[in-house]
Amino acid sequence: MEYRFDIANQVLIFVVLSLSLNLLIGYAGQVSLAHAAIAGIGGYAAAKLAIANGMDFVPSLVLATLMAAAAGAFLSVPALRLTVQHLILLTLAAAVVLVTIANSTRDLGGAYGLVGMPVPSIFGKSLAKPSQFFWFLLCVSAICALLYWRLADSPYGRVLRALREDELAARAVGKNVFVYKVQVFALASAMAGLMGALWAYYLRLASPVQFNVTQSLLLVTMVIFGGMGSLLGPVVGAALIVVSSPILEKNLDIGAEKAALIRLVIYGAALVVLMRLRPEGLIPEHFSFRRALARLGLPLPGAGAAAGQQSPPPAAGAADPAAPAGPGQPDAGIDIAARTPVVTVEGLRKAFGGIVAVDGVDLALRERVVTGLVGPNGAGKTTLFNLLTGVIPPDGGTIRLKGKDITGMTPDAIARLGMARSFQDVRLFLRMTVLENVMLAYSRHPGEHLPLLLGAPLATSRAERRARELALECLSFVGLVDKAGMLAGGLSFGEQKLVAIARLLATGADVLLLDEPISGVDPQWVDRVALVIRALPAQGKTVCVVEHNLYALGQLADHCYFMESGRITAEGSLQELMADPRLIAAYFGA
Amino acid sequence: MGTQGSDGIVLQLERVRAGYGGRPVVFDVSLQLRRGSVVALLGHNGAGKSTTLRAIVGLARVHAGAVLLDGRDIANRPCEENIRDGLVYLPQERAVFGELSVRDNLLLGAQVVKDRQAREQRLERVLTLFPVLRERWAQPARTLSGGQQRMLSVGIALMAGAKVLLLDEPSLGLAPAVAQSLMNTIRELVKSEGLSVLIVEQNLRLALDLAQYLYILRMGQLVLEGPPQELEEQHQLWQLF
Repeated sequence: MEYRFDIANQVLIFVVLSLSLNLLIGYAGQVSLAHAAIAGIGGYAAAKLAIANGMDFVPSLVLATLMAAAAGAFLSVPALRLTVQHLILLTLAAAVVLVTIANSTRDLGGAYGLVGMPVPSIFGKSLAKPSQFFWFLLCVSAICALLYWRLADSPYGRVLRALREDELAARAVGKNVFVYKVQVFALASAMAGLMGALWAYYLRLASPVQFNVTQSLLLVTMVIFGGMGSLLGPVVGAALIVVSSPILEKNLDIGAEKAALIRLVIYGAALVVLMRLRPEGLIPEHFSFRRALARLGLPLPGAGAAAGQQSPPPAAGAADPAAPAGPGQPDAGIDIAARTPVVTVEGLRKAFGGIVAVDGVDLALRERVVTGLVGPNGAGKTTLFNLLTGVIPPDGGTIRLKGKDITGMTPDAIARLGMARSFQDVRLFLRMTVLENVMLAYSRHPGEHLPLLLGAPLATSRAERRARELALECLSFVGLVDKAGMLAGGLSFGEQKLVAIARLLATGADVLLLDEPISGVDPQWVDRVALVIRALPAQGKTVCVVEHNLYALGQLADHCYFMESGRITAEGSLQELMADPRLIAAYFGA
Repeated sequence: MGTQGSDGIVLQLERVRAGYGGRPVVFDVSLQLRRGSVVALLGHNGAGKSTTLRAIVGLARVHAGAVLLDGRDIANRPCEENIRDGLVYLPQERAVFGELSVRDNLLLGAQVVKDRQAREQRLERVLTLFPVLRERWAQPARTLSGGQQRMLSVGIALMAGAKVLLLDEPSLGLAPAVAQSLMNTIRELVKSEGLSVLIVEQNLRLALDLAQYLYILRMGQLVLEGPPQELEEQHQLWQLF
């Protein structure tokens, strides 16, 4: 019986370790090879505190957890600016350094580790036997699993997945990437540290082999095996892998050492087979039991097309979308100059090496006005958007948003101040659903902030309902409600453009910068998108649009700037600009 | 099969069902492309236009039906073999190698062209079409603007010396002047080199001006075909989607 409890204890510890690693790898996309080493910090801390300081079981667990969390947060700081490949190298190096320190420090017991930890006890009850330890471990694991579930399957987890998909796009909808990365590293490390400490107490030993790089790789394998980013996947992965080793030993009667070798071969082979057949892991990220059951029935003929159905398009206006640019005037008679400038740009300048992309630009985006930005390819339009939204810092000049100097601020801070943008190359979160993509843009969601997520569940679920309603509303605006449940990566390019507009609307920002919203959208929907944008000023929005489709821009823009070679060379209504033979030549090459 | 004759057909699709993984996106699509002609594939967003092109070139799975290049079934053949046989595809996304220079990007496009002189000629033509690429010759492609990167991807496709060119929204993100001159170049290539082009284009005006024959896809199925004038007379084209 004790033997089974022993295996159950190992399973629990590795399940929690791989769940916490899944938060990092599967959700936030931060691949760490130092997870076992971080658990080791917890293990060694608990051992040292118990042996040298005689600290009790529970306080030493708490301190060990905090120390591991601090180490994780510390590790996250250099990770902030690294690509995944570099992060893997950094964490690998950190793991090697930590294990080497443990191996070579006499105070930490060297290669033998810290031995002779006291028997843990709680409320006077000894936890010496595996069966006694099991119940305590089960409670702690359950709490960890609940915390994991709350973090992963929530608005918070949604932001983490957005980080994994596209950091810049996440910042563009106002998410503070820095805070999330530090938090998720600290949280995952805290759980790992706690498990490391319990592992040390369980074996009454903290040694380098328990926490070396091989163990980290084993944890990564468990996560990949079960399914990265899947809520339950790592549980399955960890349980299968941990249970397999005693089963091998027992049934094959080959002794622990041989079994360990054979186990490695089997894991390797299983991983290769799995990657070929089911690269998303045993339980993939978007696995649904209901869908799996439904799939057992025969697929209906033409089901793919039915899934690809588009909402009935709006009544196409009287205008012929195929007609050459014949700008129908927007609201005639707006006195542009009388409107208050919301965004003012003065002397903005940016050079990349020898190329001056933006060369002393002055412009104003006025309240409830749709401003068009027209010009040849490479004129600096997108660079101007990047400067306005803080994606790149300017070399000179100032940008003011509602009177506040925002020059040099970060993209997420600018988005939170009320200026959001869309991207020419769309940048949706491809492995998230259409609905999630738009819901993410909902600003000030309490569920995205750790204390509120854990402390105010009612407010969180209320906000989640509101976010869903808003997202559906924005999606119906662009006619894609029936695709809400699809993965964004499964949409066509034009549909992705429409979702990007919905996402931008859902930010609730007052100033919206649209970078080629219409290119790639089919002619019938061009009118629809134009209508959507045209309706924005009435909702109090200030809009700036970069667009080559002059037919659409003619319907949209109250005022236009013409940009060439990094400078604004003309402004006025689109008709006025297009009456200038020089601009026509610059743009149409006529 | 419409008004086209059966002679000189370079690319033919016969009841093709294709998609990604096990999920079909286009159903029973049959179309023909004759040597030295331009055929446009139109339809709304998500209708399956890009998937059709990808299925032809070998980037989406053909579940049923045949894709005939010069009468030979090439369905599910590796993409690189198709390119060697002169079937070249321009994807909708910007497909450039960001860290490589503009020059290396273009030369990579001509990887399959053995004849040096032909390579030089094509290079000259691309650079005349997009003069800005000559100015940015030695720069890494990632430093180009979005529209310029689009020009570069079109340039790479043109460098390959295609017999059949599959273009997925070539005008996407290009300023009107540039889009127009691109269309002129394509027209010229069709005339002078007997190039055959299957084009997906949201800019209806450009597509109608260029193509001799149209196919219209809706929800993965062909719903209409014919020469542009004929279709324009019978229907309001933008309502066909």
